[in-house]
Amino acid sequence: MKQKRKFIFTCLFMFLFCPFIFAQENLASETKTTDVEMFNLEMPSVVTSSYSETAEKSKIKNTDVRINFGGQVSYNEITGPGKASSSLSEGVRHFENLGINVTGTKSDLKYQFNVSGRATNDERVDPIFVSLTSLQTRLEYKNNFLNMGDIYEAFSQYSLNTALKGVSYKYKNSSTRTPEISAVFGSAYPRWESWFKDSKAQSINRTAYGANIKKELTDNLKFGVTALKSDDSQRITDTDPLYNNTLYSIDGEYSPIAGLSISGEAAMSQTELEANSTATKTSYNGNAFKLEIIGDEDPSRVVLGYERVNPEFESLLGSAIKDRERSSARWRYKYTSNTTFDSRFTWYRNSLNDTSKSTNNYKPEIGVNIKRIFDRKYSNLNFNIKLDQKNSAVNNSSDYFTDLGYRDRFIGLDIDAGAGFTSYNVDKNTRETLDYSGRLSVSTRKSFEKVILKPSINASSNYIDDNINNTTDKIFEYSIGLGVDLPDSKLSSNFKFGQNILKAAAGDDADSLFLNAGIYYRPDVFFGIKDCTLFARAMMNDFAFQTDTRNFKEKSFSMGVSFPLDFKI
Amino acid sequence: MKKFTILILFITLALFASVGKVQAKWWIFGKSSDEVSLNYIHINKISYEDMNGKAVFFKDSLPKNNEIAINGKASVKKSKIGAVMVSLDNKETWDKAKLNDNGTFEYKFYADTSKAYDFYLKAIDTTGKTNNIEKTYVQITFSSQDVSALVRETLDKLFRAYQTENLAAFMTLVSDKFIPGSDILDSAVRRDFILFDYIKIDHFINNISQVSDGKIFVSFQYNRSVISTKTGQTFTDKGMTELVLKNEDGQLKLFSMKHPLMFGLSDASEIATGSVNQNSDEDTLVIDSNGIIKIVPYNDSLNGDGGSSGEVKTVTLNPGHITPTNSTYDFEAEEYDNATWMVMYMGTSFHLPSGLPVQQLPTGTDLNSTSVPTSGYTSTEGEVRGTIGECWAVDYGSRGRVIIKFRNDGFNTSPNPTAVLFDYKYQN
Repeated sequence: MKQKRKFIFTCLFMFLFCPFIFAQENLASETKTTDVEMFNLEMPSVVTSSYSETAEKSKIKNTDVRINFGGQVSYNEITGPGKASSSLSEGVRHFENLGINVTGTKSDLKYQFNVSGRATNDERVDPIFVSLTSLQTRLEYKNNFLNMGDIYEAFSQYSLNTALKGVSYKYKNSSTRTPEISAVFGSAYPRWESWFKDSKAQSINRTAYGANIKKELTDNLKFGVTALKSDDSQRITDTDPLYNNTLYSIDGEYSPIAGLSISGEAAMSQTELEANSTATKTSYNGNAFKLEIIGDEDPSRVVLGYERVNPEFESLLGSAIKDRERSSARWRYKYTSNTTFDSRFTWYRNSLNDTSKSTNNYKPEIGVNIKRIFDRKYSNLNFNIKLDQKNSAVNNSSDYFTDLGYRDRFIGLDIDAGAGFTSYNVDKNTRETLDYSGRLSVSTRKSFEKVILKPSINASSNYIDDNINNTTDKIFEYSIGLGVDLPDSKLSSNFKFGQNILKAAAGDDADSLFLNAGIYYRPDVFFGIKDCTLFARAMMNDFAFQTDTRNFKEKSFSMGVSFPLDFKI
Repeated sequence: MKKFTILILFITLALFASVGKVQAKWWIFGKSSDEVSLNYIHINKISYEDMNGKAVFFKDSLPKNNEIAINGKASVKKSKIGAVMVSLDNKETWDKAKLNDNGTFEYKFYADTSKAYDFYLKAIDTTGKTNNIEKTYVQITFSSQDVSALVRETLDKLFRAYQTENLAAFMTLVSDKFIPGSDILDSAVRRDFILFDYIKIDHFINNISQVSDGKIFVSFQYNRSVISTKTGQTFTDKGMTELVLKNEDGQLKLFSMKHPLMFGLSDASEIATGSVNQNSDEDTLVIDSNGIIKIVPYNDSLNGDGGSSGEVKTVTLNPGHITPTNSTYDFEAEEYDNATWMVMYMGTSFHLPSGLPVQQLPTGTDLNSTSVPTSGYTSTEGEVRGTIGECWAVDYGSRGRVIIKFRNDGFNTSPNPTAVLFDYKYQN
């Protein structure tokens, strides 16, 4: 662990200072600058220098540094017998983010370095008091790209689509047809503290390495090949499964004629699994395949898709849901410039090795969107019907969704209204629920000489009828809001008050009052700092339940500041 | 359904087979004619189809000297492409692109990132016909907003739409290419809205990483609370999760999500494409297949059916339950029976029927802190005979999985059999 810390901090030290070294060479040859100037974060001298001096300096200072800081202090108060249900931490809590971004060029070399960290004493924000949230270095030299630290290379959907902590290299020449070659090595730790073996961020070590080649064979045919290996180690508990996975993938895209593209990917995985600390290793192979055809030219866009991921396919670093077969079709048809029809059908199932146990899902859907209805400039009508059916040996379900939405502007008021009806049905008297919902939002913006007012009203309700238990749950929520901006004073504020009422027929009724208010001050320059934001926020939630012992009230008051510091070195 | 699949495959094969001979574009239902057409246009590798008339490039991720490279291919049926012209100033001036014999073209310029470019493209064939120029319009702009600011803004919008249960607003922030399908997420989020009332989610970004094709990986901490519409009960959880956003016409959209899920918990097994690689007992909110909201340890939430991890239960089979040859226990129905499936039976020792996929877990495994494995099972050729203290996981297929820990084999107690004890944790 100490070794890793040393490694990280050595890298950190080197990358922090390499831009300074590059910058120093130029400075030494062309001008004299003191260390104090170099680290003067406020850099007012650049702003106030004469144009010629500034231009001269900008010629030699080619490394941009941005330091972002954001911090806030909150006081949270939670009262009432049910306060254990609160999602706030009581007392005084602080939260700070600090990020340093360094970018620059030196002849053909372009470099970028990011490091950021967070400190908080609020366990609901992060159980780790001080954490390294990001560490990235990117070097670009002609057609060569080297990334270190937090790296994200999306080789293909099935192979690699997650971030790693490690190193990646890419050769990419946009002006020729030479293949784009990428190689990656790293660990799929979710955060740096996992690397440091912090007990609050435990994870197995999933080391991955692999390569991807992308090549444009012709103008309308391109393909990629990927080989990726991942190897798990350092089990946290005896029952953790460890995978050793090798994955090969081919993906491609073909555009034979204008508006038509055919893309797909085929992948196979070889997996060795040690299910727990005493289990013997088992090996299995799996494969996955997907194909998508898109025909896109006015007035239609048609998308056809097919995918099959077999149960033994393991994509530990890609994106796949195993044991699924899926087909889909979508047709979007622009009937007129203002009227568009959208229809879709999706089918999928699981349990591919024994289809008698499969659950088959069918999702047909059709909708229409009409703009400028009744010849009204801002009107937009949307209507959608959808069926969601699941059939299996155990049970069958059919859910119907119907939505109607309408947006318009009347006498300066923006109206957004919607209504929905949903029917949930699961056979064998398991579920039979009807949901009726409605929402209305009215808002406007009025500008006066020095004040902009943005009042709004929102209301929504749901009635949920359970026909099996013969009960009805009712939800009603309303809120009123007001935004007040004083552009000359660089002040903006918002205020929102509302109530959420739940009448749960078979449960506990709830009645929640909420209030949020915030004021933000964004001066042009604040003590020499540009783009600074100072804010104060207040929040109150009062939860009252039918069972009094569950009642609680949350109050929170926060104030904070965020600002960037930009300078050149 | 097979017919549907066959139909899609047939269409695919037909398309492949007819390449070069395709006369009418089937998807526009015969509206095609012999016009000059553009097979594809890419602006800095981003496809024209993903732009919807608007391309926003982040200044901090532009190539050297803010180079913008436009390439594509124009074609016409009965003649040849003679020239391709590019306008960056709303058709006021035109500049010639480098054209190859096969209709491919390339055009590069060094952008002034402080201004916007109104891009049009004109392909002219040798008879003087042009493509539909108006259709090629793209407004190219540059954002000094760093990617992280845009990510924050997008996540704020996503969470706001979800918290206010505004499905229409939420789905505008979901990519059409969402893996596994935006319609599947749509259905799941609708169900979430039926089950959840008064959703509150705070998020705190840990890390943002991006790749050149417009995908952005985001990892963040979250702190969430919801009220169940059925019971009025409050549920809270917190933890860390990861998702991928995709840049589409300058707007970031949700592209994929991992466990623990933030949206679409009602159909988690169909939405999450992977899980965050962490070993955590952190409370995690899940919804099982019966629409029941639960809080389970993160490790258990990864099991199918929304973390229906089950609780540890103890079964006592007393002599009244045990027949001389066997006795069975149905973990799903929680009853003694003589069924031929979904059983564990006891003869002279603990038996697991032959042919069942099983795996042995380490002796001393704590059932309370161990989730039922989802993989690693191997089918037995003969019966498995367990001994006291051993722990086995059994996969009953669609009937679920169970971990069994043998505690006391009282059946062999002589002269009078006493109770047979085992603990189990069942998950379906």
